[in-house]
Amino acid sequence: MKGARYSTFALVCCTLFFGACRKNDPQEEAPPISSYRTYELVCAAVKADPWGGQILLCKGSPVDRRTSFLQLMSAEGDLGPRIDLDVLPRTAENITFQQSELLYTDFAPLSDGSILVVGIGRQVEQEDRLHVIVHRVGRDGAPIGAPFRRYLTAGGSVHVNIDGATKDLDGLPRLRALCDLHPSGDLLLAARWETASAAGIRLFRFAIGGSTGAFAQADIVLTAPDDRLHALTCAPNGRVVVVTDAGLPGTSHTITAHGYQVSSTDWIGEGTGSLQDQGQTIINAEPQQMFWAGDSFVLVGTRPNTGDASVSKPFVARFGTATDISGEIRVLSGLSASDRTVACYCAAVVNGQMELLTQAHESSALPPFFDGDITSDLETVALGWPGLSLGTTSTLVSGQGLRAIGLFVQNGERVLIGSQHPYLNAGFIHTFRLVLE
Amino acid sequence: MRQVIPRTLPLLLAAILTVTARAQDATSCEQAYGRAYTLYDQDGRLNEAWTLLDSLCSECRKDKDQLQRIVFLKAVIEARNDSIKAMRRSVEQLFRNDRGYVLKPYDPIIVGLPVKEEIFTTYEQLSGSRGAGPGQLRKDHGQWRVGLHFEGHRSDLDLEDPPRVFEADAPPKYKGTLGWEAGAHAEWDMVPNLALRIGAGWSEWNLEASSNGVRYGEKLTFIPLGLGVKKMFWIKDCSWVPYILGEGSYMLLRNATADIERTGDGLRFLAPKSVERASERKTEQIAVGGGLGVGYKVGHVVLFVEGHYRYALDRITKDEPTYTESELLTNYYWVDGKFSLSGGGVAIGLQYVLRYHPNNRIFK
Repeated sequence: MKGARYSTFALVCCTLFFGACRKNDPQEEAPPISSYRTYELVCAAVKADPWGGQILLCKGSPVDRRTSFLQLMSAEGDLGPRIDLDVLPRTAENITFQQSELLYTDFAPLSDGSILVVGIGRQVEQEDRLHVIVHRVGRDGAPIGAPFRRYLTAGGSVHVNIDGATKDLDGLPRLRALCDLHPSGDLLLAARWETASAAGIRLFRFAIGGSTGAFAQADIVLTAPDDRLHALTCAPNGRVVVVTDAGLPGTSHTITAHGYQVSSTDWIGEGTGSLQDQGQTIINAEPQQMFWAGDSFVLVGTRPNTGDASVSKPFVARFGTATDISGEIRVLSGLSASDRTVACYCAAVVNGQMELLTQAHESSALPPFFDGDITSDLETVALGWPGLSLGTTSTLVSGQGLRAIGLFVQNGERVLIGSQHPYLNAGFIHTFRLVLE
Repeated sequence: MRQVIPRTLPLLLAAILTVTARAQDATSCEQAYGRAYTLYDQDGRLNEAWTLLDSLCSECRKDKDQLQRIVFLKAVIEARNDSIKAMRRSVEQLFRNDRGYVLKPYDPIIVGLPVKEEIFTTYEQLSGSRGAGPGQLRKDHGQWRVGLHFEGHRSDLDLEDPPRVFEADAPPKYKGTLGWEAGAHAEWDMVPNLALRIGAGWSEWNLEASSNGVRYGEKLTFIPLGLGVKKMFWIKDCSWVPYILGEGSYMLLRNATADIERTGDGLRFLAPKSVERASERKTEQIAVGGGLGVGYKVGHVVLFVEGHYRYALDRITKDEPTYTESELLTNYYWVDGKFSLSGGGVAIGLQYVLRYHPNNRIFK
């Protein structure tokens, strides 16, 4: 009897003791990140690989002015083959370029796994002639066929960036060639050339897989020598939009969209449009990415805030033709504190809404904002689609200076490729791959 | 006041009746012992006296002094009847009744008896004396014990595929390192030699992980609450009492302090960092385990040393990486592998015997 009493007593004590010491599990809201990996890569551009994963255009080091290699990345984030651009043939159609005068600035992955690499070459031994040059390489980096080139201008200069708002985010020269694929499979290419007194953009359509002759070409005259080429995108309907600067007196510029229908023989102009907000031309906007989203072009970037031009906020423009670039535009002036710049470097339409990846910088950050900022917040901003109504904003990684470069939807997950300054060291740049649930 | 009186009255009456009944029991036992002593001393009717005393042994157990008189007289009768084994069992029972029992050779009941030497010698053999040696009696480790213990242990990690953040890093290698635990416990012999142990303490577990680029260490502190069963084995002529132990532990996480540093490649801006990570750990752990130990009694104190192993039933890390510690992630390129925290160690301690068994047990 006494033993039973002791047993009951012990049981009650244990129950009370254990029960009293239980602590509620703190349910901290975690960002929806399912994977985060980093790489010793200095990524300047990233595109989806038709074979799965992504392809990254990288520089050898943060201080380089030239890109150095293409890095293939699997759908799981594992690094694949590296295509070294400096070992590509330097001779194209009887002209041999010095390695340092070849600037590869864009690429186009093809469905057969090969990759078109485009760039600008300067012929320093003969009047500094500029040529656009195109290579086709396999996934192992081996050239497929001979590279080809087209003449741009004489007296070309490979100017480095100037400081200030027009400095390239990735430290690359503003002399560049951008490319996209036409629905027919042909390569569309916009090459910006520059001399001491003038600058322009020459547009090409190259037939891929057969003739290497350029059978369609056009020119865009830039109003100021430092006007830049920002984007070239071709829609599935064959409509092409090229976005450039249009210089104003002084150092300011506006943004102009040039529209084209590209036939097999000609670039047929569809007019131009200037980026405006509520009827006012936007000055010194910095477009970052343009893409086709189902039924319209989307241009995202950053613009100086109204009233305080030292602070920039993101904008999103949705349009069907270049002349209508400002038909539907959303300027997100209310994001973050009024003295903090919020930059948008990429976006995508995900699950029926536009998702912007933004970087909220400290108020002390100066253009180009990513350069050296190790404290900014990486955030997502949801916008309604197609109305671009402002939805929810959430912080993915706070205070670590992460910059998104490309957002991809892959196997139901959002894969984000970007750059960061690691180790609290603004002089280093690494590439991160972040998967969002 | 009116309500208090009716409620307390039955309690008072019950208490009075209980005390009265006990007094009556004691009186009747004393009277019965008196009758037995008369039968023994005046009538010489030893067998009748023994029969009466034998029945009293089971009835009159509440008063130790009274039981002592009864058992002693019973032993004397058995000695006089030349039942030496029975006498010896009765003398043992005297020690069970009172572990400090002392037999006086000049006790009036035996002082004139021829069997006095027989009885006294048996007493000395059991209890020990200068002439008889250390004695054949051993006292057990008590029924209630409270104690303190200190344990040194090494973590044993069950690791699942540690992830890498930075592709230039090799997969980190985890290893458990030394930790400690200090605590208090109580033991209660549910039945002789089978004890229930309950304890609590403060426990520190440590682990390290390293690769070519990063060194990570974590110190987890818990409040462990333990419940176990201990089975003791008494070995003849051995003063050390081995035992086995089975236990379950509930461990409440208090802190998880991590220290991390990246090494090499001139990362001069990135200083070693210390960060609290309890929010990224499961706050509760259940572990089961067992062990072997040995105890040694000195006076009322039992010294023991035991080795045991605790196996964690669940991982201490959360099921998915939480990525909430963004600085650790993006600056130091560190995300946890999933692991459970088991471990083994050696504990030393002491226990004070609060209470002995009602029948103090004697071992030969």
